[in-house]
Amino acid sequence: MPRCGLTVSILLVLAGLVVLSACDRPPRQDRLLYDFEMDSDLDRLHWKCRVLYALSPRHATHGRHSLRMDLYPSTYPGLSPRLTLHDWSGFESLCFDIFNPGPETLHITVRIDDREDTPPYADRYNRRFALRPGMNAVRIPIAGLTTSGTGRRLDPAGISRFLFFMVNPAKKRTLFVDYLRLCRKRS
Amino acid sequence: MRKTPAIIGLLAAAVLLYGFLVEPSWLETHHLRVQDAALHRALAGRIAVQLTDLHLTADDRLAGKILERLRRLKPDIIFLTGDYVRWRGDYPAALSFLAMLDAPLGVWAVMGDYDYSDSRRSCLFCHRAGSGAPTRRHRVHFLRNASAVIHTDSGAVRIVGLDGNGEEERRNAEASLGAGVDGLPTIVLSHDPLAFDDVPADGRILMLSGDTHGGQVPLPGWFWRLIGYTKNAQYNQGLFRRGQNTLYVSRGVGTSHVPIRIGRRPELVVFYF
Repeated sequence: MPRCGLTVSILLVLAGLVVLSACDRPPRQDRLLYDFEMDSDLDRLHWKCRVLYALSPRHATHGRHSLRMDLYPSTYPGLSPRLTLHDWSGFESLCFDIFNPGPETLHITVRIDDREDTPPYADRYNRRFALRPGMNAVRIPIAGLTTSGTGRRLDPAGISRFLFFMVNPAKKRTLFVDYLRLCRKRS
Repeated sequence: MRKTPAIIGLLAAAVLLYGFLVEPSWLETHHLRVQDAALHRALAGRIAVQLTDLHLTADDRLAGKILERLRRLKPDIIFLTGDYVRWRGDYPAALSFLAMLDAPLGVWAVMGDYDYSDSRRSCLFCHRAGSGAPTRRHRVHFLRNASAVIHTDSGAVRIVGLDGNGEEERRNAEASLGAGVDGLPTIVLSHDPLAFDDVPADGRILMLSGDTHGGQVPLPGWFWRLIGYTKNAQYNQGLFRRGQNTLYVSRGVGTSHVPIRIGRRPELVVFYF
């Protein structure tokens, strides 16, 4: 019996080591944050006045639906999804697809915070992206997440907020977003 | 001597029973005369009612009582200062209640922090489901960092609504008030009474607020400060004056956290000008 117990203990320790080593490895797969397939996904967004969200069968790049965003003239209409995964370390980039159905290039600003409070502009990641008519694949390298004013590198293990928005659109704009994910490191 | 702990225990139990079962549904109508010459000129002889912190549920016992009292009072104007639902609560119940409200000079409202607890459903206060079109479920005018002017036979009054969405409310207080500097007497609706601190001292405004529930039970200011409830420490309930401005903080109708009220009866406030 004692010998049996020792064997079990050794096996348990080995199993623990295997689990630990697996945890330490960079993620092998992309991590899906939002696929916009279920109505409950809409409950996980921060709704604000002058922005409407709906699931749409149009312009989906993953699954059957995308998120249709109707952005009405206001200061910063956009998308602010609740994050359930705050540790982005080990991933190479934040990726999402966004379809601009209009004839003109539009601009969105992406903001990422690594502080729970509301950091000032200088102490958060802010970057403007041009959205050409049609489908746009946005890819933001995690290693390049630095704050605008201080040049501080964001802590990828403590991401608290991600949002993107237009600045003062003069008229109603519609965008379709899909497949918001963290992309794995490429070997 | 041996009986003393038993008596104390019985008294405590009686107070708790009263606090949980009696007072939360014992609605008080609180009558208040506003001492302001400009508001008197515009609203003399008119009656306004303030309701706040309703925290409604589908089987709310107080909703019927409130509607009955409003039918008897026949107010000319109704002010609602936020928190119509419980935390991520029953939005249809709140909307059904709002649909029952009407007054000749309008029903004017702001949102409270609880109303935003389910941000998707909070849109239903102003819009039809899945649409940017205005709702037809009720006749309440929601002022979200916006103002409106109501006209009477004897003058006009500006109603300003400060939005109850946390930090935005404070940030927008001055901006929203600035838009109304035109000499009109002004009534400001703000769920959070701390917005009173941001109003210019020479503003000559009447602000109506809620949020505090009067603490629900009588506790000293230092205690509220200790647990970080500055609003209760500073403006727990009643009338406050700063410069030429007046603030009335209603202890509201419903409860939050613990469904208890002791010495803080739910109130419907009637203002005379």
